[in-house]
Amino acid sequence: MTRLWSALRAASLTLCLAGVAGYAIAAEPPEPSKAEQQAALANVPSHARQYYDHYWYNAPVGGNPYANWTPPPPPWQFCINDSMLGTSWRTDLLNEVKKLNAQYHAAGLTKAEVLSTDSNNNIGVQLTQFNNLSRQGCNVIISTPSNPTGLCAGMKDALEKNVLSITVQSPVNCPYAMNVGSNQYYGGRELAEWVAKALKGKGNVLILSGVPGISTTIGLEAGSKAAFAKYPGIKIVGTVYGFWNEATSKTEMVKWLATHPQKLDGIVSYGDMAVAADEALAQSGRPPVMQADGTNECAYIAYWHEKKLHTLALLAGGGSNGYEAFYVALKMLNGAKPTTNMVWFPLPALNDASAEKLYAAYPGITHTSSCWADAPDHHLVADSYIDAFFKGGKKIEPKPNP
Amino acid sequence: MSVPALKETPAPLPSAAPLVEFRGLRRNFGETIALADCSFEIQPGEIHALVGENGSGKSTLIKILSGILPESGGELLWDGKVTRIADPRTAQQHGIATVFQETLVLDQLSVRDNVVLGLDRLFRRVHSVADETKLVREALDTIGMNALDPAMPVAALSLAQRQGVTIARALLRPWRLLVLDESTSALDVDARDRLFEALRGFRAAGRSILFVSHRMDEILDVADRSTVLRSGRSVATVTRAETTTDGLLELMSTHEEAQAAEGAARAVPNRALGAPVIAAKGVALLPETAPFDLTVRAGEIVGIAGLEGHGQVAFVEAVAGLRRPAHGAVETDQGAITSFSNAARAGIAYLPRERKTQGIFAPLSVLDNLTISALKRFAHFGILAESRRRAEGRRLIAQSHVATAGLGAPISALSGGNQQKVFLGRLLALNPRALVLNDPMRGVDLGAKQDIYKILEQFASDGGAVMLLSTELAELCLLCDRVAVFHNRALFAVIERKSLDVQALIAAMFGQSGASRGTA
Amino acid sequence: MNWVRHRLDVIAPFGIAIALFFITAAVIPGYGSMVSIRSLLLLSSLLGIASAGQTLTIIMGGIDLSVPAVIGLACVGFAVAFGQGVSPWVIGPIVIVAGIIIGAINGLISRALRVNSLIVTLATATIIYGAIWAQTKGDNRGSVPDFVTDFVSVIGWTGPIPVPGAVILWAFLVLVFVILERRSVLGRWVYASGANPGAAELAHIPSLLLWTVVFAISGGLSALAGILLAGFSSAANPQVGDAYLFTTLSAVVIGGTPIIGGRGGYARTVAGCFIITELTMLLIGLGLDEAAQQVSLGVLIIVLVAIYGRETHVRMQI
Repeated sequence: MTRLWSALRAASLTLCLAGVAGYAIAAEPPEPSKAEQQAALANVPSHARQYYDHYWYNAPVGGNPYANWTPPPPPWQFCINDSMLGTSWRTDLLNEVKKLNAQYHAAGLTKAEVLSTDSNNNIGVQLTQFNNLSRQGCNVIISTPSNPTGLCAGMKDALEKNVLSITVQSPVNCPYAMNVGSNQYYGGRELAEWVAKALKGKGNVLILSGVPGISTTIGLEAGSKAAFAKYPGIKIVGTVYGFWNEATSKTEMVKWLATHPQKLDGIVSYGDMAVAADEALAQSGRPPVMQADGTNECAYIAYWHEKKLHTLALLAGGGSNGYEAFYVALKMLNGAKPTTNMVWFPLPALNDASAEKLYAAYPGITHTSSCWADAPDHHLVADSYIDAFFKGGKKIEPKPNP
Repeated sequence: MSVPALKETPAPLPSAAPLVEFRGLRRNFGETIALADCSFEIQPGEIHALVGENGSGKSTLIKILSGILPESGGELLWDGKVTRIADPRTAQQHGIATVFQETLVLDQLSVRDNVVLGLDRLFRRVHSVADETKLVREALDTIGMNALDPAMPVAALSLAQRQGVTIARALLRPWRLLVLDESTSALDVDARDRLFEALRGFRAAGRSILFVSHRMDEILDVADRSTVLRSGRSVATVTRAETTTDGLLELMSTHEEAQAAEGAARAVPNRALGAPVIAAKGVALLPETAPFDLTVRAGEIVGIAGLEGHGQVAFVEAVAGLRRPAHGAVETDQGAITSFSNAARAGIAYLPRERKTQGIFAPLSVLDNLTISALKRFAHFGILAESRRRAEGRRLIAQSHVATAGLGAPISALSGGNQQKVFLGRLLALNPRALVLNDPMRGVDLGAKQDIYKILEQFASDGGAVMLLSTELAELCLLCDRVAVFHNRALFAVIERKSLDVQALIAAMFGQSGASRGTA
Repeated sequence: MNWVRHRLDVIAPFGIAIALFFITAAVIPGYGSMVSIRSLLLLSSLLGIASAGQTLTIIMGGIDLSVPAVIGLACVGFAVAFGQGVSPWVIGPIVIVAGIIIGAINGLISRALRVNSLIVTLATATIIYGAIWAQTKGDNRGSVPDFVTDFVSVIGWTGPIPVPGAVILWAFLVLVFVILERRSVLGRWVYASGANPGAAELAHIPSLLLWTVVFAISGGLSALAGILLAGFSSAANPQVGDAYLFTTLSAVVIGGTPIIGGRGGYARTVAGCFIITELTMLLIGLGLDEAAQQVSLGVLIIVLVAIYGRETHVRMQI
């Protein structure tokens, strides 16, 4: 009996070890040939091509997967196939879609309820839920797949059933869905370029990254490194993994600072970790540095306001992403034909001035507030930017809040 | 050593070559010698009984024969050739089918699957289900259990029926030697008679049976010859004509034991007996077993004896509050014992059988091991007063004659005997009124045994009551005022000091009423 | 020979902790500075507070896998309630009592139903995470009072002492735990229970009470760690404790408390906490990436266990 217990305990420890060690699986994606790149980008409107830099880090870009698709008549059933509703980013997305659905329902264009599922990051469960939704009469399934290939079978099936699949900020590697989002590589490049410019092309920089070894992180890091490489005076002195977790970011930053006495001039971080990094700097007796972060957390906006720091932040709130996905769905339901399966846009950049405006829009927030600020009109780009990805179709009439 | 007249009488059997012959077979486990020198043979077409008291080496011999244990020395001849039975598979290939004392069945499987277990390949049935069912029915019919449904799960069966399943399993194999290791004890009379009838049929067909039993009537009934094992040695093989109960019992009791008992009888303890401390009233261990009474008084050492599995352990555990008897109750002046903690409150301190798994805390110090049950006595708001605890530890070490480097030494550094004395010291720390000891002398060296005798005698002289279960009969004769002997899961006899000797104990253990039956 | 091995057991973790400090100081410039030492103390103390209950449960023969979940619950509960205007002196005790109750339930169920605590605490952890999400729907808006943040700030002071309050709290906790383990009835019961669970019952140790109390202590201290981590990270994040499952178990094992229980102690875990923090700092200082750090930590666990954590072979025990 005692042996069984000890064996179980040993097994648990091994599992913990394996869990921590098991993340390093994704590798740098291979670069397609120039001809392949040209062919892929030919699907993208010319003004948007700049945002598809090194697109293969994000997803393969192709043509219209819905060429033979006929839009169903209204009222349309909107559905959400979420991998994990446990974050406020995802709940914001869901709430935005519900809000828009209610507006169009008042005009008789959509069904009353939005059906939604949550798979708790289990791709098998998510696929089953996806199939159930497409069988239950959904016309549009907005999904956040937890894996770029796991839902492909369901999406292929959905396409045959005339159901429209749209992914948000998590593109799939198969030509059966419309993918709405932004390019990680481009984002990593943009953040790094701002830091390099803010440092006037000279100084020591640190990358505060997310979870090591996953494709998102690889794309972001590749973009940042490419941007820094253009500035010979910029030296990347380290990469710290904060796991998109404030406590881990701060712990790792404190350790890094304690063992790296050299001067640090700038930090690029990939989401919700900049405040932890600046606190770590302050508590280690260092001055603040130039930081750019891909975040929209209230704490960050308030902190930068309180400390009067310079910043660049890329906003990508769940609500505004929900708006873009809903807009793409509406375009297609109104008969517009997309030119590509990847509808990518640049994220709105928050500079010193616009950060102040956003701060004013969320009264009472402080550097310890755990909320997420979103663009006030919930648009990440102008609708006309999205319109350029489509040909034909009826014009979309915005509907008022009922 | 006096040699009984019956020894080495050649068996007047057909002089065919023996099926199996043991020549000076030995087996030891480290220092312990389980089988010292075993020599006898089994003829084809013979029912051969193997008798001996607990620990005489019967099970070891059967395990060697079944390929479970390798022998340490000596030879085993099969069909006249020296053979090593390396594993159970080899035993099966030779045609040895063994039914073990423990009923080895898989509860979740059906009777049929349990009986045919091992006949199938891993992924493929050799026989169809219908064929299997037929085979199983035939095998069960042999032992009079044809009413048993082969599709029934074994979990639903009675002990006797499970035993029948294990026998049927053995019978289905193509065997030449069937080994029955006390596997008839659970059968009811009817099934047993059917089985014996079948055994005689097998014998007529030239097949052999090695038969272990603790029931003299069974041995007298079916055995052609009987071999007696004593302390790991085969002391005699007697034919059916020569076999008498008394003769076998005498062969089983060792000369040393007899001597020790005689020596002890001279030193009759002179202790004043007080009021009853433990009183079993109308206790029946199983619903169908006979109820009995047994009392242990202050100042008294009462021994508990019995062959393995005859209810004596269950009784001692009932006294300790670890199990409830089917009928009746064990009472103290605090009322009936209903639980372990309730027994402890009544002043009963229990020493379990397995020192390693139930007794000592190996990494902990001698002091912790001594005081762990009585910590609250030294605590103020949960914090221990170490000087008082150490003083008590020193007192207990002196009282229990423990030889140790110090109170802080880990108990694992002590010898087995000293560990056992520490364990006893832990019970004494509770200031109990009664010690209930489940085989305390197991694996204890001679010196430590002497110390433990002294501890128990001192405890009794100071007015404590002792209930001592032991498998060493000489020791019971030496220490006890009375010995309660269990047979067939009930109290069979209480042997008073004046008539207490090893012979009497063995007779009672085997259910022979030579000893006067009585209760106290 | 036995004596040497016994001593090596005790000395090795502390020796390694001290040696690692000087090795790192020699290799990494600036590591001997006051800020670095204070960083080391603070990070070790956060890990140490989170490992305290774990040490006790493992010595007792259990294991508490709900530590990260309780940390997350306490962090979110404390920060969200404070963000809504509840006094920290009200919500703090409530959160800790909640941790104690969760722990008590863990211990009670494990013991009363004789289910391995590994399974029970894993289940509890899942329930807690689920409950947090059900309650907040992922929306963890909250904030943390400044004094809590200062309590876990690297450059914090405790009165005239130049270390943050968390370090002093940890030192106090170590003292209490060492006394608890060596000089209390509860402590002796914990060791006996882990050394031989079968014998513990027969030695009149009240196992049900013991398991309930020890797991309650683990739950309460995990909740305390959760509040401190809320202050440290200035955020309400249910995943804040995730890193603490592996690191608390590692700290216990590296310190030399065998995972099967019955031996070891919190003083050893303290050494284990320092070793883990120092080692990761050394590896970060050397510029090794995350994967290399994990590999090194794994190798270290195996090496240390080979030195002093080996169980006596069953053969030798007979």
